[in-house]
Amino acid sequence: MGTNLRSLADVDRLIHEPSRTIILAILFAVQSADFLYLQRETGLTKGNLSVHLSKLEEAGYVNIEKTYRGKIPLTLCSMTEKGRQAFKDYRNQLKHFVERTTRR
Amino acid sequence: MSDDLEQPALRAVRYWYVDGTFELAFGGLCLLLAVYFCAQAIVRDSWIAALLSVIFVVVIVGGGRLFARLLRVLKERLTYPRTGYVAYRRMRGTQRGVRIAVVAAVAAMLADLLTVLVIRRPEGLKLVAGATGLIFGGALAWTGYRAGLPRFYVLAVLSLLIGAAISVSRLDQDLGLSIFYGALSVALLTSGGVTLGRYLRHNPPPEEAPDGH
Repeated sequence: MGTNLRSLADVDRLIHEPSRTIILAILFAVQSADFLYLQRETGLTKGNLSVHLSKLEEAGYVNIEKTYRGKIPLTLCSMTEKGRQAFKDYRNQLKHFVERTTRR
Repeated sequence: MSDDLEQPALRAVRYWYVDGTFELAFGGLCLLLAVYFCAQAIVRDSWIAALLSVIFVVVIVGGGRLFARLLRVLKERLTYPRTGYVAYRRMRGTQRGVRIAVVAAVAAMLADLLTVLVIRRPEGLKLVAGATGLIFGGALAWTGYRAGLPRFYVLAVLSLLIGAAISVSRLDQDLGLSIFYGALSVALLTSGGVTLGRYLRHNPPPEEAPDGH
């Protein structure tokens, strides 16, 4: 396996799953977003989104706060600093991989 | 891939304008200014006109706060329960300071340009509506470009055309500004109303709790 392919193998597998990449890309762009916004933007079912968010929360990449706006329940999700850094690193790794591949 | 990862940021910016409430609130503010300048034109040369001039800043700041609150209430009642809530990232520290300094510098330059090129010229005050149309048109075009929403380009062109038409007709400054803000508010309220109607049709209220609780 060449260095180029090895660098791809080193990417964070937790982020590399497409649904979680989309969730993190959304949360990277905002301060916080609620469950409904994430569900609509990702197109995931409630169950799937909950599972992915739980995994990201366990890894310390995402902070989930359950609260209320008036009488309406609200699940607010935001990215932690650790998550931001991990997502930046992931993007850079992918970028370098694509650059090296297209140069050949 | 990088472009794909940029898309959520653009969509988040666009989300702020998706329901037309921004235009409704901004249109409301313009309507308030139209009434203010209309009052100025009616009571010209009286002590009430002087009083109105003194409270101009209060009208701008108070109106701005009022319509910001209206915007928040509309979004909390209509938008967030239907399509979700987003809090936008705020700049902090140096980045925020630089942004404020740039905005202040641009505003000062525009004010200077307006004074030198328009107000000091003979009949210059009658061109204020045209200059205002240019500034508002620029701001609306920038919003359209930033959010990728063509309807703001239409509003920008309308702002330019209304301002130019009033300047060409050489109306008195207060009357001209009153007509400018009145016409712009009609355009904004129409655009906001149509966008809100379409948004509400496509996004019915949720039947169950919209959350993953």
